[in-house]
Amino acid sequence: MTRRVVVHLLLGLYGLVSAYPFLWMVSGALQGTKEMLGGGHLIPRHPTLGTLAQTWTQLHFLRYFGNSLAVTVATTVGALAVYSLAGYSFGALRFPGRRLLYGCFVALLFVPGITMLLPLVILQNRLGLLGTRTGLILPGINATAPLAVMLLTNAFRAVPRELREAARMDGAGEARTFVSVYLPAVRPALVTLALLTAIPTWNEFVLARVSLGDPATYTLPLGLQDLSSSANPQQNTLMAASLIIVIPVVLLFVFLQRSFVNGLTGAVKG
Amino acid sequence: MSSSTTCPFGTRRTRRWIPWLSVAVPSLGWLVFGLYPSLATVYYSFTTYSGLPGTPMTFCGLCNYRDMFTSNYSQLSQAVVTTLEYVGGVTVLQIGLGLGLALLLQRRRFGYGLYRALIFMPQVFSVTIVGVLFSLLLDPSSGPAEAVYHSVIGGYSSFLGDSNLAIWLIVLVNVWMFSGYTMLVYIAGLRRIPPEVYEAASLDGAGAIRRFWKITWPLLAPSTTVNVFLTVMGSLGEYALILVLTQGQYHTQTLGMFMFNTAFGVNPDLGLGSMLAMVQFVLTAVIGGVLLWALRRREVSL
Repeated sequence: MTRRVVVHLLLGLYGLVSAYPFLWMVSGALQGTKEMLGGGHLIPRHPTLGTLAQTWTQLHFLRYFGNSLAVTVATTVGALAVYSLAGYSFGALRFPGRRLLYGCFVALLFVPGITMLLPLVILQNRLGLLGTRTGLILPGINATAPLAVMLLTNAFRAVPRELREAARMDGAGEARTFVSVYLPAVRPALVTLALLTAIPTWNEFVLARVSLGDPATYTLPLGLQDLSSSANPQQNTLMAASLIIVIPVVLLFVFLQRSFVNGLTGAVKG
Repeated sequence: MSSSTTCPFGTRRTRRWIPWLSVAVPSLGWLVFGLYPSLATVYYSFTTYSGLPGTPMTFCGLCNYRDMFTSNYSQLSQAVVTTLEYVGGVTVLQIGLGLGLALLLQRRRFGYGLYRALIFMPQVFSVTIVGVLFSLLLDPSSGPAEAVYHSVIGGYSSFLGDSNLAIWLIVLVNVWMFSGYTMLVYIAGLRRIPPEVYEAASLDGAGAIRRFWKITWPLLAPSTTVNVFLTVMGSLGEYALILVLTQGQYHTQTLGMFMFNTAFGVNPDLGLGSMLAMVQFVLTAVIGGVLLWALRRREVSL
């Protein structure tokens, strides 16, 4: 019994240390500049939403939020549309060369992202996409390819063939079978893929930094970076900006934790 | 559902094209945003090119390779050493911590779900946030870390500005971010070990430590393979975290950071940067290959 208490204490302590930067950020975001300049407190004495409101309106985080949302939604919807079709073909249909093609997609996993960064920027420039949202969305969709193809091919393969034959007997064509039989059956995998695409896209920083020039097109992480490298940034403002970025992700994580965790640990089982 | 012949993609002849149509778009993406950039990196590494719009790209053979392995060799070798220190530090700490946490948190008990979530959460933070938060936490004049350091150890430290310390602090930040993931993979592995194995060992009178080394550790080999491989590969390619914390200053210039600074720094040199990307690619491929081979062999022998 005492052992259990000790274990709980240790875990609680470690959990607290692990969560401390987050708690510290929330606390800072809820303090006014005056309190912060006086050293700040972990539990705000005069909690206020003023810092958040100011960051949201005067520091353009509303605009950055819109940009991030547009890029994230487009990338996620695009990835789901493109790779659910591909996964269906790889997992449920037979055609010559499918193993080779599948292998090509998975092979991208072994090319470190950093080695593709430079030509990607030049390519954006050549295609006239440098500094645009599309220039982030298209490579973003492609970046999910290895994970998406593996995850969805496995999911589609796991759907019993009897379901397909039953749909055929009822006279459903390929499109109908895909939409009303297969898609509902692989829903958990689609949710997982949506999460594993949306969160990294929302957080993406490096490609945005090297390709976006006009502050009007900045995504949230870039807006935060811009704020922190400006002259004399206020600590509470930086934390409010961080909190704005983190809230949607933490909400997604809390509500869909199961799909997220299953996806992360399941994807590696291959 | 009525039987109909108007359903799209209905006939035998058109049906044959469906798989090809459905993989056409992702294949195009693969060619344009996957294969092309990979091959372009190889080509750029043989050119002199600043990367700035309007500047010429001139083919120069092995010039970048020659320069890097002669006059700039010390910079390159320093970057490789820093990379290996970083990878080694992250891997040892993250595997150790992840395994320890998994052993403690594998059971479904009251409150354990919360601990797991708290430990896992940093993974969903953007690196920019992590950069801002830790720069403030580790601020040498006003951060909370300074207060703790001053009262516990005494004296002052410049933390991320200290060339002996900075890389290890980034290692710790990396471990903080991703040890929850390592933990989850280990928990999944632990839950696949059948309880009967432990019961048999208990009957034989094996103690907890003996049970760990004789049963748990060998049976966890597949999870260890996954964790070690992903951690090594992930930390080898890590540069965003270093970029937001130190920009590669104070002895934190890993190979990836060196490449980033060369290609996008004050005097951008895309040719040289691409050459460094090639070194990064080769290093990753060699380490990844050897690692997979060694881990597989280990799994068989255990």
